[in-house]
Amino acid sequence: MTVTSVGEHIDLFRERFVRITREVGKRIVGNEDIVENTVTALLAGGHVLLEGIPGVGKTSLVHTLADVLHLKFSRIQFTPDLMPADIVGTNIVQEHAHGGGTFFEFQPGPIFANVVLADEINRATPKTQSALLEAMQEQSVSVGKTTYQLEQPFLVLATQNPLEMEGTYPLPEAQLDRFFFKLKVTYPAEKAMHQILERTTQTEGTPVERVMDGPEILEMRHVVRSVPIAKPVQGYAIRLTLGSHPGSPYASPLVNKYVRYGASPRAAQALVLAGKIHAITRGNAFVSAEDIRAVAMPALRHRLLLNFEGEAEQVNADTIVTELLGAVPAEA
Amino acid sequence: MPDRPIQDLVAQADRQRRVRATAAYLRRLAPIAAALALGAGLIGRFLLGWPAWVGLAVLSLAAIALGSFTYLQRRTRPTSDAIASAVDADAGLTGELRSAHWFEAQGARDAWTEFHIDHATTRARGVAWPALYPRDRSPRAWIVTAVLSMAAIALAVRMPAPVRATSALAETEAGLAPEMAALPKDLADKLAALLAQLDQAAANKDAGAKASTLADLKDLMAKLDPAMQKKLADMLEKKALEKDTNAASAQDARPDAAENATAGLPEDAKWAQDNQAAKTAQLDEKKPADKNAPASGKADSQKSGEQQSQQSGDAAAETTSALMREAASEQNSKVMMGGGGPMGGDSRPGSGAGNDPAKGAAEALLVAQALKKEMVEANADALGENVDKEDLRRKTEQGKSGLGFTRTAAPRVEPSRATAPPPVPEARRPLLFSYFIRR
Repeated sequence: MTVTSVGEHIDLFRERFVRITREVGKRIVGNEDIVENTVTALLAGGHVLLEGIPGVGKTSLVHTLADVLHLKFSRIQFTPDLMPADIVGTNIVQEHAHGGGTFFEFQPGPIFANVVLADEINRATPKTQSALLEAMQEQSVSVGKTTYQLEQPFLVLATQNPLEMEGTYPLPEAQLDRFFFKLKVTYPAEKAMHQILERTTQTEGTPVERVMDGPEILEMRHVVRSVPIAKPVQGYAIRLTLGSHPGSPYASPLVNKYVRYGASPRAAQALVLAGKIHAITRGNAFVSAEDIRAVAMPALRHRLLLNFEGEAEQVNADTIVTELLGAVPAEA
Repeated sequence: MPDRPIQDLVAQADRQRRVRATAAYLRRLAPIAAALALGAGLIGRFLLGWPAWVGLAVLSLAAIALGSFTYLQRRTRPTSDAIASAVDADAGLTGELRSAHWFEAQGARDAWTEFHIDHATTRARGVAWPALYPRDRSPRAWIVTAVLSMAAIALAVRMPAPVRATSALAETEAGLAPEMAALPKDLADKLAALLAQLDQAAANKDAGAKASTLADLKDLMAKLDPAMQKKLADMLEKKALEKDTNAASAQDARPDAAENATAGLPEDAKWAQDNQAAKTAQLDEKKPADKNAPASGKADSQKSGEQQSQQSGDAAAETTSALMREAASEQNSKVMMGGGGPMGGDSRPGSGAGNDPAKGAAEALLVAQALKKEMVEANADALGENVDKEDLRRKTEQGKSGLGFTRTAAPRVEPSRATAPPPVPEARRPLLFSYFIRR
């Protein structure tokens, strides 16, 4: 790669990124930052947990993204009686075509897709939820004695409803940590509501085009990882991660008071990778502290485990992250 | 093209930034320093009598300090990430300069970092640094500083002497204050004027004026002597009169003092002392008046009376002390005269009988041993020695009793089988009500 080709790569990346978000934006109105962050997670190789009240377009967003990207899409509706085999697949008995006995054949589950929508993930039991762990982290599935690699790119988009807590199983910390971003889908504004109604209550739906395929996404992923980051900026991401731990020298007062466990090193990885994507989508070949700061909220909010006092006082993790961003200096 | 363009750019920008910050500091500090120098000069010369160069010295020190500060701030320093970050933030380069500064300092570069550094260099060169860090052009502070500095210099160079002359005169007057007070007013004024002229002549280095003033001063001192003699004679006479008055009042107060001297004595001692004093007075009356007295003079006769009263007082004191010694030697009167306590004894704690410390200590030791013995006997509780029969019996009962605690089962209460209390007879019901319900 030459110096001049770097500029071309950056421009091409930006052009593709804008193309995806613009195409998704044809159908999803009023949540541009959600769309951008979802595509960011896709390009970073991470997974997204979408949280929001019913009817704000979480599932539509995932559907639209699958339509825009020329990728295999599957949907799993999580219910309390869903079993792990329903997700990863199972071995079934088959007969040889010419007779002479039977054999086991692996029947892949819906996890074998590029974009997996885990709808209402917190309604399944922890046993079923944990079936996703290996797939999300290792990009592989083990059934019996065999491990199957998942096709790349692989993206899990899980949704959960924060209101209905009855009959739900909160995601374990280990699984929460595997989500690259946690995005909160908010209620659309009045102007956005007008656009939603105009697009969804007419005879014709809003068509979207497939603008990108798997290899292009993998190429974009490679470009992302080439963006250099200076050590002082990387140090800022590390300080933010360490600052989420109570007792750390960078911890803010709210962290010390309400947080039981802070963010893991995966959070620092997410900060740096997302910061690189944030930088390159703005045409920069470097990562600044501002890029890290811009992606800190979705990367850290689900990785803060509150203590009893924090749970009792219903402290919002977003408040803690906001205070942390103000407390940790960008310069060492 | 320089080898490290980002480093150089950051260094230059940082220097301009520091120069601007230094100018801002100087703009605030320089007038204060000049005002301090002027103030030190004024106060020192007109109030404290400091030499003229103090104000100049303060001004020079302030100038040296500010100059050193300016030099240190303006010199080129090695850049750091913090400096690059500050310059980057000032220029609004969104972290590109800082990042490129770090990558350039690392040396090893790939295509991405090369692109990054080139891009950052281009952007940094496009920044108008002089406009970003403009020179501080506020003349008012510097005009004020210049005016104050000039005033401080002028005070030191152009305003000699008056402060010094005044202070010299004040010192002279202060040193000669007793003598000046004793002089007549016209002579004192003349002397002060001559001293002032002498100081003025010394300050102006006018040898002729100084010599003439000294000559005048000598004449004045020669004239001054007779007047001083007369004044001193008056003062001596006045002091002698005061002394006589004091002696007479002391003689009147002497019998009272003698009476007070016997106030704390017992009645018999007081009577003996009064008797001895009366005898002494009779002896004095019988003595010829001219035996030890001078032949003439009021003061001499007074002196004689003073001596007589003094002798009388001394004799009374001798008598008192003799009685005291006699009384102290007797055993019976010792308690009566031993001290000022209510019973005539020593009421000081811990002294025991009498005032003999050895004896008191011995008795205290005996008392302590007795108390200790009591304690030992009470604690020993020896059979037949210090325990009487009643205690022995009780102790024996306590120690050798065959009785012990018996285990008794707690009464079992079964609520299910509890029976109601017997009904109150109707005949007693009014009585019951009147008992429990007070009216």
